[in-house]
Amino acid sequence: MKKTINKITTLILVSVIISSCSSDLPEICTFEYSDGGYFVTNEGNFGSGNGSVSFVSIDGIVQNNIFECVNSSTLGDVVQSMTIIDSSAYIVINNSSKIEVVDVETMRTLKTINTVVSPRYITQVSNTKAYVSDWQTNSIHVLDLNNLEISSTISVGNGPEKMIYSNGYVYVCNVGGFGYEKTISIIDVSNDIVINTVEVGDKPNSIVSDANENIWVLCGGYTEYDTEWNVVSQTAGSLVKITGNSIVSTFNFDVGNSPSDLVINDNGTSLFYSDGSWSKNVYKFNISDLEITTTPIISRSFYGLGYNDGYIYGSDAVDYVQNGWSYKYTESGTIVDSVQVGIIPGGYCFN
Amino acid sequence: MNNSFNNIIFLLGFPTLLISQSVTDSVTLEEVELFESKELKHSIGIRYDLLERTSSNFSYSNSFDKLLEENTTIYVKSYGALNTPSFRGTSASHTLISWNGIPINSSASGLTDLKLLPSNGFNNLGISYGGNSTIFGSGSVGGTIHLNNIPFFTKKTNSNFTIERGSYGLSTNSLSVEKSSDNYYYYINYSHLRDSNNFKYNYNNEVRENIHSFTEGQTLISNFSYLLNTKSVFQFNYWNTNLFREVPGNITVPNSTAEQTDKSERYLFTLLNNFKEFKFKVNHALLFDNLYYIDVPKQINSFYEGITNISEFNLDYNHKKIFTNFNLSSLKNDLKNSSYENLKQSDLTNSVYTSISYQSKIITNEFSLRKEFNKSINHPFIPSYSCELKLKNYRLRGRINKNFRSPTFNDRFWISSGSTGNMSLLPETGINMEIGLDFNSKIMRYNFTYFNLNVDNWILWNQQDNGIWMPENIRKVSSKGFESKINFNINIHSLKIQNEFNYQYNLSINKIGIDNLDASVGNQLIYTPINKANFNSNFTFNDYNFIFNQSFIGKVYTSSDNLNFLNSHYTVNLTLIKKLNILNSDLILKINNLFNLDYQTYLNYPQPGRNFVIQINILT
Repeated sequence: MKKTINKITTLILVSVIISSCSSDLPEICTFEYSDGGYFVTNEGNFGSGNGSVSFVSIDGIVQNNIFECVNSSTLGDVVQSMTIIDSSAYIVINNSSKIEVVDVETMRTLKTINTVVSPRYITQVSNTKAYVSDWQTNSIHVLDLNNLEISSTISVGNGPEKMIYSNGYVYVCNVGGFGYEKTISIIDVSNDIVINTVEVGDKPNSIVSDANENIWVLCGGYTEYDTEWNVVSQTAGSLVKITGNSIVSTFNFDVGNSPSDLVINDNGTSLFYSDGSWSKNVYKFNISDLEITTTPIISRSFYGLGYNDGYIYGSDAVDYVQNGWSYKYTESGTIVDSVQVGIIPGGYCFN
Repeated sequence: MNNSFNNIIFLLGFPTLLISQSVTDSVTLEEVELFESKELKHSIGIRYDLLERTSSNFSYSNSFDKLLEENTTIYVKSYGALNTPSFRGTSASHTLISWNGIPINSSASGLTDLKLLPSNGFNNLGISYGGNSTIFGSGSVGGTIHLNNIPFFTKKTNSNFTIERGSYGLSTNSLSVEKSSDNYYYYINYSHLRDSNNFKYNYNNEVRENIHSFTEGQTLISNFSYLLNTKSVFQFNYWNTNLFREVPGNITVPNSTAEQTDKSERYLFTLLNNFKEFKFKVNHALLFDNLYYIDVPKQINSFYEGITNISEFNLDYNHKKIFTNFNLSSLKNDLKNSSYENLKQSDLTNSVYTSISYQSKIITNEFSLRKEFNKSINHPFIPSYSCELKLKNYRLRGRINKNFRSPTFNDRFWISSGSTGNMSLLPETGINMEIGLDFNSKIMRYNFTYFNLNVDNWILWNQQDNGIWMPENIRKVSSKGFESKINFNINIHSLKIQNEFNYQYNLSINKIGIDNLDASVGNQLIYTPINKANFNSNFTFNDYNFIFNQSFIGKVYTSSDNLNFLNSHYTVNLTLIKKLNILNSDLILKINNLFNLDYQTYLNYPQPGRNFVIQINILT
């Protein structure tokens, strides 16, 4: 019996030791940048810090987790967006309150900006300046591109997110976070002063400028609850056209729909967006159209939308706890390619 | 009956017999049966372990999560301020926590946070593996943890004062007093915890400190039992918790600002009567469960305040080898929540269960059936069949039963601008099947259990195409595997070595995808290790005890396509206990994470490295 026990003991110890040694080695990787490819920002799970960046080459070859691989460090929690300015990419990590500035071609960190509480998007406004929207502090920070420091801060409306630069001005969507907002702020980039605040539709979520330097704002619409969460009112989403400081036309969607993700083609003539109440589709709107269409060009719901060089890109997060997908379509809605990217792919970045 | 009862205990393989100690120390058979816990009565056919907090066992920790990690194959996830347990490939909301037979999982979330459970406030901690919804109702799917205060009636006075100090500002002080006579029993336990938890960890090649992780709180647990006559007893149980916690973010979040306060008060009144072949039990539990979560910079100020009333009537009838049990209960929840429509919601569930068993010296069979009635949730019948066969040192056991979990209040009533509950959710249901073999000899005990369970209509919060998060009955999960437990003693002169080895192999697979792209189909569930083991040795030599605790947790996946994972880890804890002659006290020194391993049980939430705890236990 004693022998049996000794055998058991040895067996147990050996099995524990063997299994504890079998831990997996980190994967070895290199990042190969190629012209014509594009980046996808994968938010990752809120609270888990597993956001990432993927690169898809022009031939459709994917490299996932490129930041983590190259820099051997975790990127962060909720990778919101990525913007390329000159040879640097600015990766905005919302819940980690930081912006990783990396070399586009190597993905190596050049600097980490830690001074913005809740960064969402970055837009270049001049050779020396970029604007950073900060959702939580209701402000736009001015980033000095020479030293990568925040040089000043501009107060705007509630929950600023996407921005567009056009002809010396920056138009900021004040989405209002989880609450109510219906304005865009117009900032003169020469002196960083808000020159106007324009009421558009409820909850403006995305913004582009067209070939004629008109600004198009897509508003999601708003459902108002009382303090006991009963629905008080519900407003329609809308597509708003702005010339200079003023609204020239408004196109309303059905009440209950929540249109989002406005993008524009390269020559600035056609808009694309997602719309629907329960399941969404992608629609096209030519800037000269007089009404919004009810015929989609892609009958599919996407988590994020992008446009580049004649193609529409849409992402799918599947069950939100696994790697998602990115789809590539022609402008007429024919699928060209699909690739597997990271967890919760939300944003596109084209060079 | 006395013999067979003891046999059951013996054959169940309790590490050391706490129940039987109090049993043999004390009273007549009638009272033994009086205090037989609900889970013990219905543990036929399953694996049931009793955990103890004595120097003759393998853990001396005040924290419940440590106790489970070191002694069981339950997987404990630690993230933010939370510690949650999960069994046999199911989730934390499939683990029921029962306090003297009363379910205490949050009716809002379905979860129980282990940080809110003091391991030293109960004289009887039981673990039932596998679901037992027929007896315990909703949520007993993967397993149940039982926290019991069992009284005894012999003249005795004990008091125990414990001071614990540890690394990173850990400080707990607890005092318990136990007094009993021929006709009453009184127990009170007060403990105070304070922990800065500011351990260091490595992140991106630099050493960082775990900030915003301060915890402070207190617990009061008491039990008063009065023997009205030889046949009836009145019991009152009380449990008060007040815990404040800073909620740390993950390692990539530099400045978390959230704070959480949990306040709960629990009252339980029980009247037991024993009339020959009949036993009546009537009880009423009143539970107040409040949680406040505040994040000032993020403008979050949310709370829930829950009041639960549970009334139960239980009748046992025993004639020769036939045991029957009939139970009626009513559970009413009233919850105020900043995120519910009208800010408050109520729910009433009535249930009935009955069981019949035949218990002979060789064979035991039990059949039981439950039905719940709720005006908005349609519950199925929940049957259970168990069988045991005893032959000399062997016991062959098995159970097949149905289990369920009702959608929680959050699942049903939640509303915010980005998410909404779903009133038409079905309860999750599943079939649990297990067979086991127990072997007992003077030198060793061996327990083996094979299990196969599934959960259908698994509720998952999923983002809809319109961007709104909503729970749906999406997944179907199949979990199977085996558990193996070996206890053996080695004696070399005056050195006594008690050993326990626990191992679990568990494949827990999702069967249904949300669409044809869903790569979770056929893959292991997230945060469910396939392999988990612990091996504990307790060396006793004169006045010294030395406990060597090894834990191995296999790789856990963090994404449902199994492409991302946390590496396996092997940790060692050492405990040295010296009995002191002064004041009948113990001096305990403990080293946790001896090899100073960097590891995580939840993605990007680091665990403390090597740390030290010193404890003094004064017993009178």
